[in-house]
Amino acid sequence: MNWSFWLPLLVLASSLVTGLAIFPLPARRSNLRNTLNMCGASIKVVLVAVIAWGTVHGIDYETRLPLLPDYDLVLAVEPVSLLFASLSAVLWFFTTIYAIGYLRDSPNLSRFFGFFSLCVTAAVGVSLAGNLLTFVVFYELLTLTTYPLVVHRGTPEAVSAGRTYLVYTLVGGTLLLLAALWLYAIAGPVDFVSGGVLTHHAEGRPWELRALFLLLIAGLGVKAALVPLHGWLPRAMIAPAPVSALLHAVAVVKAGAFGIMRVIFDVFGVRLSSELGMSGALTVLAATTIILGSLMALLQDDLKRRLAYSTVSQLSYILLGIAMLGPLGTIGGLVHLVHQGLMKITLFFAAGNLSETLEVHRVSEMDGVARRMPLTMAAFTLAALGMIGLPPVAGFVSKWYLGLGALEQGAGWILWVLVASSLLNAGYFLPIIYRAWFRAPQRSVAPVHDRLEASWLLILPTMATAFMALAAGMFANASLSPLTLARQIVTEMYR
Amino acid sequence: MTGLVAAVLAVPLVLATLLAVPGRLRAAATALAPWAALPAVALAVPAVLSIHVSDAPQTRLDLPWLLLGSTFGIDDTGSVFLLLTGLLWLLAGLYARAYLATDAARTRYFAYHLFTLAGNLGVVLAHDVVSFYLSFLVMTLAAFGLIIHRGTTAARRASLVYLVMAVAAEGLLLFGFVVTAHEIGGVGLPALLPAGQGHDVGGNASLMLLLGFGVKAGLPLLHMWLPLAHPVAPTPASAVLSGAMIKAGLLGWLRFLPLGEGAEPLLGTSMVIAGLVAAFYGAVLGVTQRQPKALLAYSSVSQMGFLTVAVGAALALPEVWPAARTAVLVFAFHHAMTKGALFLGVGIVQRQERWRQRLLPLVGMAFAGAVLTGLPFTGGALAKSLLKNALHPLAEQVSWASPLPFLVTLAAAGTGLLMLRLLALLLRRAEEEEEEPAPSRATAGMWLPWLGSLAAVAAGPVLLASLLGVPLYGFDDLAVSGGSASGEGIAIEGVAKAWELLWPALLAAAAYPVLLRGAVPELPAGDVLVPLERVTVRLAAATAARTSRVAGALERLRTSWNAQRRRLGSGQWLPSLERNLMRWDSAGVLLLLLGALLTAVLMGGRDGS
Repeated sequence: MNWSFWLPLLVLASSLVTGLAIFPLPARRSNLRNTLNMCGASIKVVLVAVIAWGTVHGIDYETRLPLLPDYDLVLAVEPVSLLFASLSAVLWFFTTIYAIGYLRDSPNLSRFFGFFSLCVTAAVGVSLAGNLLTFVVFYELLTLTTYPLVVHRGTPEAVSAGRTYLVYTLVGGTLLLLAALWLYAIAGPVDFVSGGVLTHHAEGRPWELRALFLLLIAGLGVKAALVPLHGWLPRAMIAPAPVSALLHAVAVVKAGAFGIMRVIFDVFGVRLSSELGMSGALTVLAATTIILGSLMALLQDDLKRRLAYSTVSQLSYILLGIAMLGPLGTIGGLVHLVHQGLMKITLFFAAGNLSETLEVHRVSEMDGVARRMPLTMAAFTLAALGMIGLPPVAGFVSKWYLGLGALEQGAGWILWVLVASSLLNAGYFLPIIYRAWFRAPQRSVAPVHDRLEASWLLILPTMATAFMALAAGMFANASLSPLTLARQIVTEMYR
Repeated sequence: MTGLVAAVLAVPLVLATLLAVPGRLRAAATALAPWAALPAVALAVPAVLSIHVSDAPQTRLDLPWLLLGSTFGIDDTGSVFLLLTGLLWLLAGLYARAYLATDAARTRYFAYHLFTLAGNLGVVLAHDVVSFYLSFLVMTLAAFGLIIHRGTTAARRASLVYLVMAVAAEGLLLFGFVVTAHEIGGVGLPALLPAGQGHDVGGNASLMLLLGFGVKAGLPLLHMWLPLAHPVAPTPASAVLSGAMIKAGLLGWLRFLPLGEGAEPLLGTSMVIAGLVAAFYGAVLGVTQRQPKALLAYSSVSQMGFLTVAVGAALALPEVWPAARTAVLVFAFHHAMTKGALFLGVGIVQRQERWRQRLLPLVGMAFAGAVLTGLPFTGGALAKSLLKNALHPLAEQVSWASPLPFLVTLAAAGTGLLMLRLLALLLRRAEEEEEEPAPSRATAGMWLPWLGSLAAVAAGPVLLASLLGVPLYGFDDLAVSGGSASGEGIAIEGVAKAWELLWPALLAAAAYPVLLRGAVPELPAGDVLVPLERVTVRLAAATAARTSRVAGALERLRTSWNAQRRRLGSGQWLPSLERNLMRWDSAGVLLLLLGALLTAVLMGGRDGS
């Protein structure tokens, strides 16, 4: 019994217990429910901070529970997992505040917040998973706990979107499970190891490993919304704004991208991945997704749908960086895991504010909205500029490193993909900004001077995440910035 | 000095932030905003005075925590650009205070003014690629607010054209910047690195940088936004757009292109040709304009053509660079001040309702026009002579380039024609001027900055040239002294030289009446953009139609697939499953079942192995 064993478990428990405690609460006990929620979220942030401090000071945290003979449920804290876990913990904290404000008067809140907490438990579990089995367990848990959130409204569209979501993700999960079993058959019970676990088993069976790689990517690619597998994501935006925010920034889509990262770095390893020649294929797939996602986003009028296709595109930045298999590209991919989360959650918060306060859902209705909601639109503008990849917002740092990584690998064409994507992003974000700030409102809406433009529960998280997205780019070179952390991780990885 | 570098950038930014705070702070910030460029001038003047005097380390401000590690500082090239930028912004800011005295949206104007200024100063001071990129971007995006300020249909069209072109340019620049950072293995600016240390970033990236900055600098076919934006922007904004911001594109070339390396003969040659085309094209198109400020915009395209020729020559032939550098610096300063004075003057003339009141400002305009044309004993003559002298090595060594000095002189005739036309336009009654009904007559607040700019036009280039070591009162042979052996030369000299300066102006004066009688056709501002816009609109409509057809086909496919599925009966049980799954308790049971299934499968898998 020691802290290095218990802390990872406690991180999970902080939201698991919260979730289980919330389920039985009657609907009218909203104060108690909110208190529980905020306590859980705060405790998780503190615990992750403690673990981060410990990791920096050389403490290894690992929880190993015997799940099956020979096969343990392993929660291990490595720098990469810490990056994802901190992102989940911090963004969960802000999303909880936002959700409390957003869903104030809606029914079934105990069900909602219960699954909300379980969903984050699963996301953190995914980030801390120390082997593929543990990863699969939490990955599936994530699917099942997000489904009730997607269909929360219970409308026919929500149910239909939920069905699509389930079909996609369960099929993906099954493929992943198959792949995990296959890996077990090849290598036995193995933990994630930096540099890969398959190196010793690679002799003489390249095709088998290639098939395994494809199966893993196919399974994980569903959640990472790689292009032929992305269909569920734009439909799932029917969910309430805080769910979309969490879905698009951390919980679901990142689990897929993070999984692909673990497969390439900790199961196959950089060397084997490039020997098998699969990374080239993944690079092309990611580049295709980047361009197609942006093109689709360009055609959407519904704001959240446009944001959803933008997620499809932006997620593949992460995969692109990883698939390049070079240090600079990896830094770009890793750091975008955090940066995309900060920027996209801001965009969804802002979209939620618009629909909650002004009932504006479509881009074509956004003329002059910035006069009524300047803070919201300022946050939106900042995040959108970051998505385009303009300095000083965070997205620029990702793009810069991806570009350098492409040149480092001698793949100049990737730089053109990035430039094209920047222009497409500008193509679907700048018109929104122009409408909001420079067009006259269609309906005359009086600006509010005497009070905040919306509930502070909605404004505070929006501003906070926008500020973090700005700071992550503005002070990218400072210690403790996501970039600095990503650099350290990659230095370790490629040593 | 480091503190001053920080203040140059911080003052506009802090003032812009304070403008957002209602109440007394906003009032104070609005009062101070016109003066925001003062620290820049204070930093630039001593820096320009000490050009070439000592090899003392340049002032540097290192901010390792900012962006990817930022460095700002001042070097010889930067000091001249800082002076022209700071001076023009200061004059334009003071002018704007009076010009917009009755404008309800002046706070907003000054907010964009301050951000554009901060970006422009950042471009000059940036010593690393990322800070340069950020500054250039801030300047570009904030200038959108200056162009759209009036909010008229024309202003909206102009600002959209500007934004589209600027964003496309940003894409090209991103490519160039990343390649530069990769090639030099860091984020330093190529031009500031020791010679031979990775100046050459490769033809592809050089081309992208050339075009990306070319949008700002008004390369032909990338110039379309200029004649649209200048007439609609408030006059002080036109002055800084055409005087200072256009030079940011030039500075980009100087900072990033491998000048003096001889690495890009093809690109350099193309640039020389593009510059010549711009010099004539701008003059010809400018004459067809009705709006004085559109004419001045075309004149800027033409003048930037001269600078493009010089930079292109230095790109093509390394020997050209030392002399071309001096010429470019003097010419850039001269053009910034003169064009600024011309724009500010247009604003004053247009606010004088009576014909007689216009005479006095027209005298000033005539002076500025004469300087721009390059009449003897003016700064314009000095700048053009330096430019021609710098081109001599190219003209002597490369056969196709031999008519270059003559063509540059001939283009000056075009400038003369433009200036005559400008004066004629300004003499007319105000019936078709784009200016809103003038809220008030030009006040001292507008006159004083304008007179200040005229003083800078008269004295500035000569002073600058002497600081740069150009012998001013010699004859041909005296020019060969020390480092200026390549012909950094003679400006104000003998009669023969004076004739060379005078004949273009005389040609213009002779051609002008002929031209008037021939009834100049009126071309719309933005020339080739107009048909281009029409094609774009048609293309967009066609694409939209096609897209909706494809979407329709997809939708039909989906419907038929759904029908098929229903017919197979698979649609029957799914909805009820959905309803059950939606109840959270059944989802929980499913969760447990899945866990059990997992366990079972894993056990089985283990037995099998």
